Amino acid sequence: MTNVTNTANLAHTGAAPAPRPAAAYHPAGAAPILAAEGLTMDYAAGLAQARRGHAPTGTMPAATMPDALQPLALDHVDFQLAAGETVAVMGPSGSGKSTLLHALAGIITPTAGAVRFRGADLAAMPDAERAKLRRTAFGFVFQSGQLLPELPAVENIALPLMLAGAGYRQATDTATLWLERFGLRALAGQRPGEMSGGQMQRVAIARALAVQPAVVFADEPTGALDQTTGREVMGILMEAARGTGAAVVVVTHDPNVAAFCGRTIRLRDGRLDSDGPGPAPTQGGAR
Amino acid sequence: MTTLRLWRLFHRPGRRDAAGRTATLATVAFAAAAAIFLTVLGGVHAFIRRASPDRTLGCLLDERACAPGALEAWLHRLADPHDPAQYAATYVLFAAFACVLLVVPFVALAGSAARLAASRRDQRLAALRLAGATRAQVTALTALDAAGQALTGALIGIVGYVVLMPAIMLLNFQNEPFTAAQLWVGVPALLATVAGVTVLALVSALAALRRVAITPLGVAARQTRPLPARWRALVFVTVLGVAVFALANMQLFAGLSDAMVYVVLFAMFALPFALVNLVGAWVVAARARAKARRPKDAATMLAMRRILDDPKRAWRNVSGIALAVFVAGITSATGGIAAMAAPEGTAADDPMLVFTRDIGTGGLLTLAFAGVLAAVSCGVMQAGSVIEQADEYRMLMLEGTDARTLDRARFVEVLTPLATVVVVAGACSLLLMWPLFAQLMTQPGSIVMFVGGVAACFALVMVGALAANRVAAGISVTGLRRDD
Repeated sequence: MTNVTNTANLAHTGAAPAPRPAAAYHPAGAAPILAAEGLTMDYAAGLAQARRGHAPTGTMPAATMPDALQPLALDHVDFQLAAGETVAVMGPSGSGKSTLLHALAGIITPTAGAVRFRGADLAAMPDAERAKLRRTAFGFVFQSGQLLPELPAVENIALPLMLAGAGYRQATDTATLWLERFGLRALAGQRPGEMSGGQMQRVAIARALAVQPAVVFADEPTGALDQTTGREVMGILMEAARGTGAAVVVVTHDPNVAAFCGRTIRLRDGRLDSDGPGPAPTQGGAR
Repeated sequence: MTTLRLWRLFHRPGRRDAAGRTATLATVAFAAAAAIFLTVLGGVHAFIRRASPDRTLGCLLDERACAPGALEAWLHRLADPHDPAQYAATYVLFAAFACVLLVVPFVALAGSAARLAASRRDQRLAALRLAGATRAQVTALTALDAAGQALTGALIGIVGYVVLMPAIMLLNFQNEPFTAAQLWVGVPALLATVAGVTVLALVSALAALRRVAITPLGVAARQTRPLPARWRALVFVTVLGVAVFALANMQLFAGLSDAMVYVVLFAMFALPFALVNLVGAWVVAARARAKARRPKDAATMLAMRRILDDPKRAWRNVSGIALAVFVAGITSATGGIAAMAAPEGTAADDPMLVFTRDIGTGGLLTLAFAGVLAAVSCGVMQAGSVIEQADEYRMLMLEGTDARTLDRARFVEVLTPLATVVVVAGACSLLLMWPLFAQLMTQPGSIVMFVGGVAACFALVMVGALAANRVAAGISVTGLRRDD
């Protein structure tokens, strides 16, 4: 289903577009590599369709329940990301932060609206092509549980390279360079269960950046870490991303994490609340 | 709150979580194990009845309990060299031997099912501990789960045994088909089987739980487990060498008493299985380590690391095939005996010919049951394993890993240990049988039977594992809302 059809469905079922409290911020002089327009996500409708058609995820129809009963996870959100830009996505729990990140990364297909990466509509791509895009152009850092517990650190980093077609030797050589860069050479043969939380996140960052992605999506990357370690991890992520020219989208509750980014957007009840330059860090935070 | 109330709380209708799915798998495994065990027991029962002068167990055990005139008639039959009755006692012995052989995979399957019943509960049990449940309550809850599944499975297995009975009645042994009365093991045996399966599940589940310390803060993070020690391989090679030497020099056993000869015979059949059990996990780990050194692609790397993470689990998944390989070896040898025992011109109903032919049929039947047990065991364990990995694999798919790579990883994860075990068990079986049956095993018929039997079991296990992979992978990727 195209985005035009999605929007038409939405209008047809009476779920009128909500007023937009904040306009999307467009960084001056930079062409966006990732752009979202009118993103709307209705999980209730998606689940209803999944039950009817056994579809796990996919293009979802418009809402069939009143908004008051079933609020939209995303409600007509516009977003643009320039190459090399760093953006924090903030907002209270349930405001739609992770949903936005998943929609931008092509993990879920929104009920309405479109996400374009370098001009190509993600929803129009076949699933295999979207998966390839996530494998080659995007990197991911999650709060935890991302590393495979059976693989030593070096192979965890080498895995996406091998999935992209690199041989074992080449992939592990590159992975070793990343470990050295992050001062983790000694951990090459260690498995995630034998590492600290901070070490695991560093390895996860190396894994995300090893494929030289255009965009790194980080969902609460410091959520399971103490403030000092979190700051170190964010510093490493930003510096490494800058080094490879990758843009970064970070979902966080923490203003100190957001302070590492050049721009912050805030979501509330699935709507864009504000979009502008990043906040100043709170006491103890660092930029 | 009592443990029973807690248990009921977690077993309300409509549960469709991973624990619920593994519960279904465990129940299926218990059902298959019970159905096959009862079917084989039915065969033993049938031969016992046929070996009894008046076809009752009482008469077989005590001549005074025989119907009037039955014993005399039976003795008259035994005196006739053309009457198959002379082999009746041997049939019982062979059927009992097949039954004992199948007890091993049966216990393994029930154990696997029990481990499955106790798995995937870490999170829930830790949450219960945090909420104030005692360790005893948590342990009892798991035990109740396993026992409940075993009981349900065993009851379904009884239905399976009854459903299978007409198919078994089509088989001809001693030149006559089985009757329902011969195959019906009786209510006490059914109750004993149900109780046995339940107790076995209970013991296995408690043993599995002992290895997991469930605290209110959850289970300990996964640590590197030590790989199986090298001494296993050394003991394997030493014992195998001694056994081959002894079997090649049978004069060493001259002068042994009858009892000792039976001990040696039993040891000859039990030794290959014991040896492969000893070395199985080590050899699977060694093969995986060799392939993990320079994996050819991401799928192979994932599969080999999964095997090395727990070689014992990988070995257990496919251990059933080892027994099937030995049974195929014995069956092919007996097939050779049957061929040699039938010189041209022998009457089709000659008791000796019927007996040797029946040994071949019995061997094939045992092989089929061993193959099915191995396939069910492998399928159930693999499905449980895939469901257990669901979170990791879902994360990989989010990051763009294509489903084909993950399917291949799961396939290689089963194929590598399976092929390794078939090669080791096959070689071990041939080495031990060669000194005794060299002449039989070089006959084309025997070779075809051996290779064909192994190939059929291999294919059966592979189909079981692939089907389990498909079903479990389908279950594990169905939509989960993972938003903020």
